[in-house]
Amino acid sequence: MKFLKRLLTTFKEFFPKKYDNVLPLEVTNNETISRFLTSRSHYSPNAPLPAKRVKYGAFMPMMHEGKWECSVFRIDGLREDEVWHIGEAQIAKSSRKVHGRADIQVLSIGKKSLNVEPDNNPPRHANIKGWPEEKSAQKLKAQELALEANLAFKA
Amino acid sequence: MSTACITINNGNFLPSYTERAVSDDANKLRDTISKVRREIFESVSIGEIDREIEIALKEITEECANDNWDGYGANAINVNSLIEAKRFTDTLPTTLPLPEVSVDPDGDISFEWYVRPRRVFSVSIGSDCLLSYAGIIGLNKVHGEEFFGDEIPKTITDNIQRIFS
Repeated sequence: MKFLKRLLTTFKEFFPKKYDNVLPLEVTNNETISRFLTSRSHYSPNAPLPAKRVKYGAFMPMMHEGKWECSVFRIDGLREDEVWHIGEAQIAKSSRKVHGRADIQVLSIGKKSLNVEPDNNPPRHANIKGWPEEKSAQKLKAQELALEANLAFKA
Repeated sequence: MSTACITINNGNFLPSYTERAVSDDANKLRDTISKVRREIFESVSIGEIDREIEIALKEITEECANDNWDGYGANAINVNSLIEAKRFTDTLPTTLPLPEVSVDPDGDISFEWYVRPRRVFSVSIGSDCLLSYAGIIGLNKVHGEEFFGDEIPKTITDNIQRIFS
């Protein structure tokens, strides 16, 4: 049994991890993207489980090189543990704990006149762009995204 | 004989006015209002709401005290926003339910009232007394900015009431 486990580990190392895959720089409408949640400002932690929800704060953009953007990851084709691995490796590295994630389809984002622009830096990374300048308008867009996002917690 | 009266504005019978007057009468009136406020907030029902908001503000301040509190590069909580947030809660109509407290990536405190999907309203308290609000109320969507002077602008209290109606 131990031999088989070792063989499997060695075998796996020959192949690149799926979460390290560099994806094409075009997104499709039916793709799912994830925003990792790291704060009680991103979701409602005190509500009972069925009532827990994504808050607008999860999707509020930050100014980066003169443009408003919200950092997300493309998760299609990944197993659950691989998705969480991205969160732990990319977001939690700054000593923040990943509490959960908000999953949303690219199509829903497009319907809010926003767009998803992948940069593969790190692999599978993308940004939600096209945000309005006024903060109240950004809040409204973020509220609409939060409403359509699915809240997921690590099993 | 004249009597000092406290007006009932937007459902809050004890608004937290800014302090500009300097006469003896103004000082006496201010002391009286403070005393009445203290006594009312010692009551279980009203005082409880006040205490819960204070606890939520304290917890969120601790969580967001440093830059990058979210792992995405957010600004640390804005101290002026915190002061204004406290004034906002003091001025909030006592008839309204307790909001959820959050911090925006720019460090501003925000209060959110959520009833169910498509019944949500949020106000961010800017350090410059600017309130940025947004809400989804059924099929209607609202957003805008209002200056926070002596009292909470009616547009905001009206929208909060709309999501509960």
